[in-house]
Amino acid sequence: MKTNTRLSLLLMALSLGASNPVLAKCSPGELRGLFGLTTQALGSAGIEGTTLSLFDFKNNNSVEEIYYVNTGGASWKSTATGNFSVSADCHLTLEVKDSGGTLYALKGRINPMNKLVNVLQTQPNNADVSLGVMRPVGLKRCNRNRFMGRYGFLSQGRVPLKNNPLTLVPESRLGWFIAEDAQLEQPIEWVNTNGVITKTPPTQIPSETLESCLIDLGQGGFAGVIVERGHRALYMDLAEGSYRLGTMLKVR
Amino acid sequence: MLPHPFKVILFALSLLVGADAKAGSCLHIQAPEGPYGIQLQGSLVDGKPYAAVGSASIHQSTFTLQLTASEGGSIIKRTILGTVSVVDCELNLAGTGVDLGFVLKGQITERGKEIFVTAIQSAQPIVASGTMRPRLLRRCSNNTLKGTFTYISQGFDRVGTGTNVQWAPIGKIGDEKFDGKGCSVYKESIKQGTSFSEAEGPLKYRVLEDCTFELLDQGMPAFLGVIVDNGQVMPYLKLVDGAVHLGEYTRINSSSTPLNCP
Repeated sequence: MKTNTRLSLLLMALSLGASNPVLAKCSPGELRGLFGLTTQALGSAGIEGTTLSLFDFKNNNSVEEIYYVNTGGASWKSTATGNFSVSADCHLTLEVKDSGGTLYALKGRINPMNKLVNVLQTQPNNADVSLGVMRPVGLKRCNRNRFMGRYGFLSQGRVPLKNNPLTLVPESRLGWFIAEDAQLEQPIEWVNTNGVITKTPPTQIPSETLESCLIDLGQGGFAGVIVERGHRALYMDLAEGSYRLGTMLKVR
Repeated sequence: MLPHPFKVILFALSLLVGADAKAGSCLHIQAPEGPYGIQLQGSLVDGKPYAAVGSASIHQSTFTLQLTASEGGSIIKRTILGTVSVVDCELNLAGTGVDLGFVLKGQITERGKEIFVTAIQSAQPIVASGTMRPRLLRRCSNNTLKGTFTYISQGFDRVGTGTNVQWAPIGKIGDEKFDGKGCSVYKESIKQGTSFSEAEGPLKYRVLEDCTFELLDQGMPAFLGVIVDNGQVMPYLKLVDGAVHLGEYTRINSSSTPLNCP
């Protein structure tokens, strides 16, 4: 009897979750707090730029953004502020301006089940196509304990061949590292540069986890953002002309 | 609230797992087994874009990979056979026989979850990476594909011919409802160059028992996808000549909506 009751409750819960269309609706308060996003800008030559953003969605539908950009042979960090709205059918509209007045506009679709937001950059004066998946940080702030332990990682993009920023070639990197107090111990990394496979020797990379949930890796070499409560981190290469994005996943 | 002894046990277990991870050990991760879905995106070494989806069947130390790729806009299907090894969370699917030189190298981070993968081909070098996820379903039918999904896709369309070929980038986000009976309706936002547009319409679909599916445009397969993660995620590839588009559906719900596909 007890088993049957439990089974009935379980089936009822499953059927509610499976069929209730209300679950697919969004409220204006659907997005609150910190979200991380990386995007790659696709142009006719391939990846022509990358961004990494940390958005802070406020109660009054205002939004603050800290972001990194790497494009045109230069990378920089800046901030922007603006507004956003969420429709009942879970569409996000977001516009921010940096201190120079440059507009950045996104259109998004929120998945209310997991809070992932597919976003597409929409300002018409930009011929590049930029899009990505915005992910909840799931924390109000971070400390170094949020980026500790063993992580697997994968990155891909276009990088300068032999440090020549005029000749970009595709590259992917796969490996793992252990994040400790102030550095990453990386015993192995497989690098595929334009089809040539190499294995890098063990290396150490300085790391700093900021209270904002951003990560500085290699003392300005890479920028990262902790998402999904530290289970995942997104990162980008900040080297000149190196348009490469990556994801780290915690081993557990 | 958990009884006190359970809390103590959970705390002790978390300490053990934490210590294990910090030490860099990977002993609790087992080799993949069973059916997996794969998605890859990148480029050929001549700069042409590349994208692929596929399904891999892993049994003990061997695998069979059915891979459909758009290599510079040409759709190519391959079946690759080989051996599987896992050492310290590093996965190697290495082709054998005529597939010697193909390697899918991976990093496993959690049992039964996504695996980062990167492809290596000696015959035709590529730089392509993505994920491999367990299917977690024994078999599929049209009814497996029932509910509403969000999707995101990006890639390139070939423009021009001969030496004047260019690659026009394109990105889409959208929603698609599947009725579980072979009919779907999509609504999407598209960015291509400086233009931004909206599109919507019906598409018929068919799901095969191996959990791959095709979206049909006027009766012809226009997209090929693979259902993974118990139907929660579905990477897909556009099958049209000249297109190199890779996308991914993520489930919102499983509710059934009557749809009409003419």
